[in-house]
Amino acid sequence: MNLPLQYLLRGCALAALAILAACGHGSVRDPAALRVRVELDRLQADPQLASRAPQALKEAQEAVAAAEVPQNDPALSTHLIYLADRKVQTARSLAEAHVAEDQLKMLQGK
Amino acid sequence: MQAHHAVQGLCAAAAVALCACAAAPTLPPHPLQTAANDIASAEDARAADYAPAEMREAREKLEAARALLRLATPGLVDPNAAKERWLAEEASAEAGLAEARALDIRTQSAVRELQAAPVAPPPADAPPADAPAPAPNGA
Repeated sequence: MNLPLQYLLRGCALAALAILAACGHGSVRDPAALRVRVELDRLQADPQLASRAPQALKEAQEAVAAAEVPQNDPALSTHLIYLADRKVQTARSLAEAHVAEDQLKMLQGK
Repeated sequence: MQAHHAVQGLCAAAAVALCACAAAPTLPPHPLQTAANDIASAEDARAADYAPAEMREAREKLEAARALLRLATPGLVDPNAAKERWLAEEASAEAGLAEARALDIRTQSAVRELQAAPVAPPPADAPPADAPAPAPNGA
């Protein structure tokens, strides 16, 4: 094979790979967004906590959904994941606090 | 007569202006103001005592947003507007987390204290549980 044709084929192969990688980027979830989703799913699957802070859980669900949307701007993506992470943690803390409040009432004999 | 018309016109203009003010939709609060309010609310809940790292983070983010806002030139488009909003939103989220953590930690610790508290002994004049019932008076 002559040299120019070899270079041309190699260039085409690289371009195809780059296009494939670019296409696939949108469908592959950001690992950080995935981690927040796992945390939210864990909270929702916990029978003791899932229904204890409905408003905070709703906000967490919305924030996680927003964080999962692929963004062109990596800084925006980081911001949305940050918000989602804090909202999920907030929902968990509030749910745990409400469970503890019930325990407290029981212990105080109310 | 001319003055009368002028006064009438002014009154009409004032009435229109008043109506416009009354009908103007209320603007949503600026994210920086919301963040400041959320931090104040968390401080009221003594979140700094129970979630100091989150409170520090919230304050630092709000301060960073304010610093960016100070760089803006009045009358010109603020190139950092998005960054300021993001920082303020993150400060709000962090303050909310601090407040929730504080409530959680405080309540859990109250539960533990009650669980660890020794059961109060019965009053000295109370009969033991297995003591025979006292004889009725006059028996």
